[in-house]
Amino acid sequence: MKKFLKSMFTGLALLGLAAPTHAKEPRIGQKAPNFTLQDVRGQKRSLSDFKGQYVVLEWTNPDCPFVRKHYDSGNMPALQKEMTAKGVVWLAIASSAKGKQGYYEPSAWEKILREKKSAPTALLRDPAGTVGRMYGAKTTPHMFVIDPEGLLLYKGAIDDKPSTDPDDVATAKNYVRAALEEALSGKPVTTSDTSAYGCSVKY
Amino acid sequence: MFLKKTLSRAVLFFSALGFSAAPAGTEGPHVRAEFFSDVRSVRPGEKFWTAVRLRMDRGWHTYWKYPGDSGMPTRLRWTLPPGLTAGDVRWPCPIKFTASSLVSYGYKDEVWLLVPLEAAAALPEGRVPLEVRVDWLECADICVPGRADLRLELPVQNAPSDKDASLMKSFALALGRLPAELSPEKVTVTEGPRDVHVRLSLPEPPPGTPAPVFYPATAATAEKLSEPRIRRERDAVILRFAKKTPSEPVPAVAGVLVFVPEGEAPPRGFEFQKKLEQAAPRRR
Repeated sequence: MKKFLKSMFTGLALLGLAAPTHAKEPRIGQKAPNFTLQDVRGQKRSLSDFKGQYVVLEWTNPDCPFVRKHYDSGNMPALQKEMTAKGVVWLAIASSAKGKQGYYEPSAWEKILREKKSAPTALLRDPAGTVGRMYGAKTTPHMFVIDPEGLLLYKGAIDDKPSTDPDDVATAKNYVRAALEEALSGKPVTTSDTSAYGCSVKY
Repeated sequence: MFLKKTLSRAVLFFSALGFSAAPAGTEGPHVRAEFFSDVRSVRPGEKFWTAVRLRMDRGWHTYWKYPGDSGMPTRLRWTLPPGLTAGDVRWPCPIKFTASSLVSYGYKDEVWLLVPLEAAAALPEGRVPLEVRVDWLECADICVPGRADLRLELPVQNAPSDKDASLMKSFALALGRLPAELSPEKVTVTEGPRDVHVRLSLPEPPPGTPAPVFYPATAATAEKLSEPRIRRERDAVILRFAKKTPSEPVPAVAGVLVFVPEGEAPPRGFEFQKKLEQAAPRRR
């Protein structure tokens, strides 16, 4: 019995060591960390370039079935068009590492964006995963909304229907649209923190 | 080996009787779905078990009810005639998958998702179709959605349910892989400013049982609490979770503590959920 307890405690000690420390990801109401990445034309874009505007960050991977659901149904492009028309900056970010699903060279990205009728302000490439990890991006899609002062207003899922079924889009509550509509009309954001759903980011 | 033999007999049994155990509809390319019932006939007023079995190719997995950082729980949607009601899915103990520090929970090789069905006392004799649409996400490095539309047809008889011995064994094995639900009085939760202590009253496991693993069953548990430090007392297991954000209240803790014995024995899981008192002092 003693031996058992001993081995049990050794196991437990190991488990304890493996426990992660506190998360460093940005929190709602806090400053969204600045970053600089290249878009598909090689132009450098920094979050700080867009001070004074609402900014949406959308983690994406065109080959993920959850992302495909929101592009094939037209949901994501429609929201991108609607919000950029209202002056919102929309940055789609691809954090797939080279050799992993969703990694594309800039020229291939231009074609994908056209085919998907994607309409972000810019598609930023993050193959090192630095910005993805900085924001704690776990899934594609994983959405963040930043206010004109650079504070994080919303993080989490695109909507409340965690599925790959395009038919669910029609009945889903889109959290990003809701947060932006509230913020743009000067109201506090009702739902600011949800659990993102999707494929894992292919770091 | 024994399990495999039993299962193939189970499939044969269905084919022999003309039940459509074989799935219709599209499936994912790396996962096969089948549908079983533990009775050959339904008796009005009685409960019986059904199961959706997913068999996954090597290297592929499907998800638990809480998928973790990514993924999607397998979803069952029933179409049943009046007089038949399906209960919630009973999920077996999951295992953990880690990729680039992202964690997900699910199953590999094979999983039986058990669902209790209840026949109303007024269910008329005849035949009843049981239909279930199963949607899942199958993942290796990449993910593919899968779907199957499964159907069984069973006679309704006002007589003791007819059971098949080999299927009974498969169901018994599957039931044995379900976590036991801990009643509220066996779970004590105390919230401090920086951590949450959970005390589970559990009998001592057999000697040689490796340390248990905690699986968070809700996004709130996973997102608000770090992986716990686990300590054994004679008649209890103590889980100490550090809060990820000390200033934020934790509404509830829900999860499964799983002991995986060495060798062939199935995992022993204990499931609990407990709301937290919000009176604990909190640091701003």
